[in-house]
Amino acid sequence: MEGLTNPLDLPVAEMAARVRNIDDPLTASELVETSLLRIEAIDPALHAFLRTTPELAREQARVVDARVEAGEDPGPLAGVPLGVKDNIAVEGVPLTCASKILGNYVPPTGATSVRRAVDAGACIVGKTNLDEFGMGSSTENSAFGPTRNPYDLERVPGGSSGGSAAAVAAGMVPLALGSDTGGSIRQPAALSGIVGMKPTYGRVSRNGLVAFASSLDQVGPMARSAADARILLGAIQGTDPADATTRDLPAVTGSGAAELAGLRIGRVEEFSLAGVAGGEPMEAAMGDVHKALEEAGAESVELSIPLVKSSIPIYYIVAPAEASSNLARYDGVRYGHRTSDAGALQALYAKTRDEGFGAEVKRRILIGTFALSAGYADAYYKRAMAARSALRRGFERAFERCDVIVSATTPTPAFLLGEKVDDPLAMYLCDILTVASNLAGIPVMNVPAGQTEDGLPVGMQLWGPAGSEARLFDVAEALAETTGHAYRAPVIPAGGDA
Amino acid sequence: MEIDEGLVRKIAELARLELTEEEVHEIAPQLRRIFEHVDRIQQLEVGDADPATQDPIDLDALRADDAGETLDPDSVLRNAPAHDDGFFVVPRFFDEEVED
Repeated sequence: MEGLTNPLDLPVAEMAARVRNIDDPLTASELVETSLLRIEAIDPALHAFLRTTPELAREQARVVDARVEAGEDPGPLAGVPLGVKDNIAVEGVPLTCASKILGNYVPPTGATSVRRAVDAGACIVGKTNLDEFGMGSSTENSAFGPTRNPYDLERVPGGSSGGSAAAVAAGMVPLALGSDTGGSIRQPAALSGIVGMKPTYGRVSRNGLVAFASSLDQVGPMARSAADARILLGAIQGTDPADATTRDLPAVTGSGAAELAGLRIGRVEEFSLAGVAGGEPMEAAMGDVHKALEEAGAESVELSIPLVKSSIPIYYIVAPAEASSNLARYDGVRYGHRTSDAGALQALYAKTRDEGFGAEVKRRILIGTFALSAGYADAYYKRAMAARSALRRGFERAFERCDVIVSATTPTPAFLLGEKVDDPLAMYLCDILTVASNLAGIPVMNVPAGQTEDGLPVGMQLWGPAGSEARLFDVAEALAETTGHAYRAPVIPAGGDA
Repeated sequence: MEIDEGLVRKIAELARLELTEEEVHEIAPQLRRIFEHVDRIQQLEVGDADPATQDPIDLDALRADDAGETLDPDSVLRNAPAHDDGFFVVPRFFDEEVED
């Protein structure tokens, strides 16, 4: 492959088009082998994958190649290697959620999102690392060890979908599925220099996604470009009888860049990072982006959504409350870990859970249990839910005055491994720019916005009203053309290229 | 609201988490600090906002109540820590005192 572009580095549309073309020698099997070789070479330095699934990927690739041979169309993801966050079920492949409590659990059925991606031709090469049950912003809360940032191995890739982010950023897979409850797709995408979208609540089925906070969780695409992410979201979107919260939304299709001239770009005062320690490079990058947008003819609209300032307190009531209820199912009876040290049933529950859950999961269960307990539920849970409604209305009003809101994604670039691990509140504050969109149920994507002087990626978010993903992709593509900001492959010290 | 070790023990019992004394000691100040931050919601102006944020469920969106395919019992039981003859096996509990 010397001197030629490795097919794994092609845009997804081109990669799939070549696999679909019977006259082109590129096959799904070749893409899968290339991806597996890269994982073998690079991943020991990163630990993005909890396991690879070579047999499954090879079988899926054989199916795709056979369909091409037979003159059929295997779909828009034909032969594209896919990483799947390990809180999303793949039938027959162990599912851990990066927790000890799931033991040797093997899901008897797969997630709808995964099935749809495979039906569109994707080949699953492995399950990616995460903060246990999606709870964290650094992937350090994995029971199986942290993932490292491909741009600086001493730094975190973000979280909780840090494994998926690092896998895509390092070029081991062109696409990965993540999940986002409070920023878990966008924050790692930002810290790892890639594109990630949290879709509108209800666009992608949650069937087969392990529940963390059901009213906030959403599966979404992670990719090197908006165009690639659009193809994956296009494949997995849509209503599903197995998830009653899926909604019929305008489909994400096609491709293309938006006309920036005349576009109303919202700048929300409460998203400003002025005065935030370490936030200078993000503020500078945002200033440059807004300037480029104005030069391209976009109109800047100054907005204020005061409740955005309180989104962390609201989120850290609502999400743990739902988590404490959802995680009640891990009791050592029907699946997963069971303590060997219990004589009676109540002790079996309590000991199993103490042994199986990590520190952050326990903290969130305790926060949620307290916020829902008799005497406190009105002061905490009900009040947080009322504030959530008001926040959501605040965004609805904001989108009467603008088309897209542009903000930073994270308050700082990637931080050092271990830097925040002993300070839960400091870790929660990493989510300060992301949680509001989950509370409001609206789509938001992270796109690259340049790099710091040290070469660390900087990300920015594009926010739109419910159902506006297609427009966000159009704006992202136009912005990338205007600013020149795009994914840049990292140089990974250990291991070579496949 | 002062979060002390006694309260942490009580919440842990409600959550069916048997924390070690060391864990209780470590978690109490963490929760205290988190709730100092979270308590800001008490001061928020939320007006007449309804705590039910989700849109009412569209009844047409619900599927017909028809029996569909179910999971194969063996594939489910295979994941159980203990099972016998199609049942999950748990320790005896009839003579346990259950506090609620």
